[in-house]
Amino acid sequence: MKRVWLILVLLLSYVYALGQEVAIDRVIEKIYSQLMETSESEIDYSDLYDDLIAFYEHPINLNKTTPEQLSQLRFLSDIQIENFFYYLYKAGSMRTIYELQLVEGMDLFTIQLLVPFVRVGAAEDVSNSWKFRDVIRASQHELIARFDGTFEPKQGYLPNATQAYLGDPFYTSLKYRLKSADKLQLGFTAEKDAGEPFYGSYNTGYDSYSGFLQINHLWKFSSIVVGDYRANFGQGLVMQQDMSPSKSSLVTNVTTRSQGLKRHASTDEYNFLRGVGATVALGDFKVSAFYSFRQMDADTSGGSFSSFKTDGLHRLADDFEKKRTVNRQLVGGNVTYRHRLFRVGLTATQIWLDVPLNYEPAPYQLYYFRGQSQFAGSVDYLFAWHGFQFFGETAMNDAGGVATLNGLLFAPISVLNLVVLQRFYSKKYDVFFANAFSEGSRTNNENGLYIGAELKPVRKWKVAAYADLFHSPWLAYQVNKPASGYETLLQVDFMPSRQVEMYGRFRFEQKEKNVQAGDVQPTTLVSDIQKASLRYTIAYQVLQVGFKNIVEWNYAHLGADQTYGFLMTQDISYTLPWIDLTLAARYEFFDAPTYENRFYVYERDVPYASYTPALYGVGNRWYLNLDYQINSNLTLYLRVAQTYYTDNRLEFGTGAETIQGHHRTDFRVHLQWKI
Amino acid sequence: MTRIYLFLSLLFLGILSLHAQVATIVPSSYVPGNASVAYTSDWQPFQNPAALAQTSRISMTLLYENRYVTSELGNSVASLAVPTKYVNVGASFSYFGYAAYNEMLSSITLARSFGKVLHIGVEFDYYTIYLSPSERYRGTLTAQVGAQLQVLPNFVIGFNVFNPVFSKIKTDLLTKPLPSVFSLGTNYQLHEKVSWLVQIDKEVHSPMRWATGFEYAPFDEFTVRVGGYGSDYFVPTLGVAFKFDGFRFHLHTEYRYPLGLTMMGVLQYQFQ
Repeated sequence: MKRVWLILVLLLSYVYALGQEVAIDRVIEKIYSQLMETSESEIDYSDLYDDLIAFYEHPINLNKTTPEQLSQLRFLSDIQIENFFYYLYKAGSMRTIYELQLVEGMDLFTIQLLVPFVRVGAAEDVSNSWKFRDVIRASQHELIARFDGTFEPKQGYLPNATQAYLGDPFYTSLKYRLKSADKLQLGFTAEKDAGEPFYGSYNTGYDSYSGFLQINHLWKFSSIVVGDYRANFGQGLVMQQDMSPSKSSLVTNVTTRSQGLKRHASTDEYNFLRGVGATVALGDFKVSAFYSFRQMDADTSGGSFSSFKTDGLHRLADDFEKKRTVNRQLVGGNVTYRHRLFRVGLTATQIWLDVPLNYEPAPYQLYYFRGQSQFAGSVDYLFAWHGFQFFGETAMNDAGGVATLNGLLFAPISVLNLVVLQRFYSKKYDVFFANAFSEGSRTNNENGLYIGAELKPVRKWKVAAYADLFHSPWLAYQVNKPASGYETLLQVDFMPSRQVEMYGRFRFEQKEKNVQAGDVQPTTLVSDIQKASLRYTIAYQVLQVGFKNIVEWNYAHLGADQTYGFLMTQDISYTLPWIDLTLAARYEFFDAPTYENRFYVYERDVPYASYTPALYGVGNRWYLNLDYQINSNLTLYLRVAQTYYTDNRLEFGTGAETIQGHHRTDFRVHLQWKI
Repeated sequence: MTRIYLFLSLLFLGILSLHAQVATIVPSSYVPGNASVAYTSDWQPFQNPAALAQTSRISMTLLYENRYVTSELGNSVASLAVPTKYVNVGASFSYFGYAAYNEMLSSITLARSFGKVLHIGVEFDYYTIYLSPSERYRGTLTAQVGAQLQVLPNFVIGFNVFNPVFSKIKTDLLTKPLPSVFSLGTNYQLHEKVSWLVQIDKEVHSPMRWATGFEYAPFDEFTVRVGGYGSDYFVPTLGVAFKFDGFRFHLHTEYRYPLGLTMMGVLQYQFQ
């Protein structure tokens, strides 16, 4: 009875938080910007969008979910997930979504993000049986066509260009998707980047094709993937192709979120496997095996290659000489045992190349992998006990390199979450698909200690902070000596009313970097670089119009130079309900005198796409997005964006991408058909 | 609510004073600290056009500003505001300088309220400059757009962009870009008689400027304004206003070291 009263009170007092019309793109944008804004690692927005849209269209039944499923909602912390299941264990089941308020550590900010992706249903309403007729009947189809271009001509398209692009200056892509709840997914993507030829002696049609089939919950198989897919196991020391856990404003989210085999649906032309894989559930065990064969791009002109070409661009004649020159085979497997309190997994991969990889003899690359075959294996664990969660992974490669990552998450009191994470990646540990928590872009040559805390002292307020200390025992890219550094972040979130939310964020980092001393000292010096940034963001809604402002100041200190940057933005969005038209616009001024002062600000884009330009120089940028729902199945998205530099530059960009003048205007047309 | 302001102010004001801002062709305002973008009590010529949306009576304004007690650096402004059923209309004219060098700015302003919380304005400006006896006058058209939003009952956010299209005067010998200024500010009603204004401006070619000020109206007929703004150094401002029937008088001063004192007097008549 007490619980019923509590629920009623919550219903009345808290209905505003949930009663708003959900603008799903805005929610996804918020999640993405939280993950991306302070992260050094790249996040595949298309993949994130795809996952979250799937949960939006088929919300997770909170009475019939698993920790793995909830962890795919990347904004939920491991402690929140654990607390949720503890609540479910105690309460038996949830009766209403408003009960989320009763879950310890589930704050207003998280609930607002969570609500679009979950529902409360009967515990037995999800059938795991795989009936072909039901699956086909429940299937949804989606067809997407996209066309992008830039109004100003680039150097590579000019008639007298020394580096002439072979194709036209337009990006085009075509995507088809079939989804049937979480049981079947089928997809096909064809893409041509700007500058790539569509027809002619180099290409007959699109430059890149990709396809996949994923079947889940079929007999003993948890999943079967055929075609293009990604594999993720453990904490990312051996196999992690999705977003790696990294430092972000979600300070306690430091564990990997994707586990197992998953279709590759984005237009990323590098980071995926091509072949077949399956996961079988045998009682408490899950066994995965996968095989991949891909022809990779690289410059093999000397009988070996120094690096893969990862951009997927084939615009110049040189690019076609590097296309599909290396055959890469991969065999891998994982066995995971799950108990109520813990999970233990073993992962192993073996990779073969038909052309040897041989790095250029730069000192910092001395310990990088060289050769034609590589083996790596690891043990990972996760153990939950009385509010403590221990997790980690230890791995080794055939060069004798060792990597280990271990962490502890705990909540000493309900309003405070803490995380401690230690990492050691030896300089000899250089594994192709390792992508674990790290300061650098590679999972090697790094020791570090990360401490994060999240405090919710009172309702409507949240304080998050982290500190990360790191050290590279060997040289690294642009650092000609063993180096150390640290990074700190403090973020305060405040939501005074349902229409207004804001945060202030301070970030400081110090690390070492090469400094060119010019003619005076021909040898490179290594100096401390310090960077600080302060951002204030406020988002508010007046009538049906959404507004958002960002004001950011930053500081960079490298060698004798101390420079300051400033950025100010204004966003406006409005939906005209009588014609299903949504307008979203941004106007911003930026002033970043050096590259170290550059700004990254996420921009709203068409579905499955995101654009986060590095704003460097002095100028102004604006964009206008237009979404028009032509009918219940067909939606048209248009976007125009312009960057206008006022620092008297005569050209910008490099090589064939150079644009004469001081402005660049891009457009994008996206047509989406759903049935 | 105080916490919002403290949060915002402490974050930025202390640090942002490191920067400097170039002067603009727009005349100053009598709002404390020149932080007029979220000021809702009065519409002032060439300031945020959205403020005109809240004008409910016809009014005329004459403004004279003198910079550094130098007669050649005088700015004379006249304006008229006319509210109508659908849209409020304003017209303004400003003259700065002297016979051998002068700048003029003329504008037509249109503004409208959407409910009691959203006010939007747009202004079309024509800028003219006298360059030399041979070049004579050159002019260009530009615009200004702005909005004021009642986010909370006692909290207003305002923003404004002057010259978003980067208009410039171009002759054979020179190119004179008009300043493009993006302003963002807040107005927090601390008490029924006290309001606190905070503003940040960024001219696209120049470092940013911050501004803040307090307005205290102990009784209807009298108002005191104290504030300041800063870029490379701090400029304090002080002002008072009197109200008698339909007449309003505003006096505003700024002290800019080492150039000296800037003074402004405004006479406004509001038809009853």
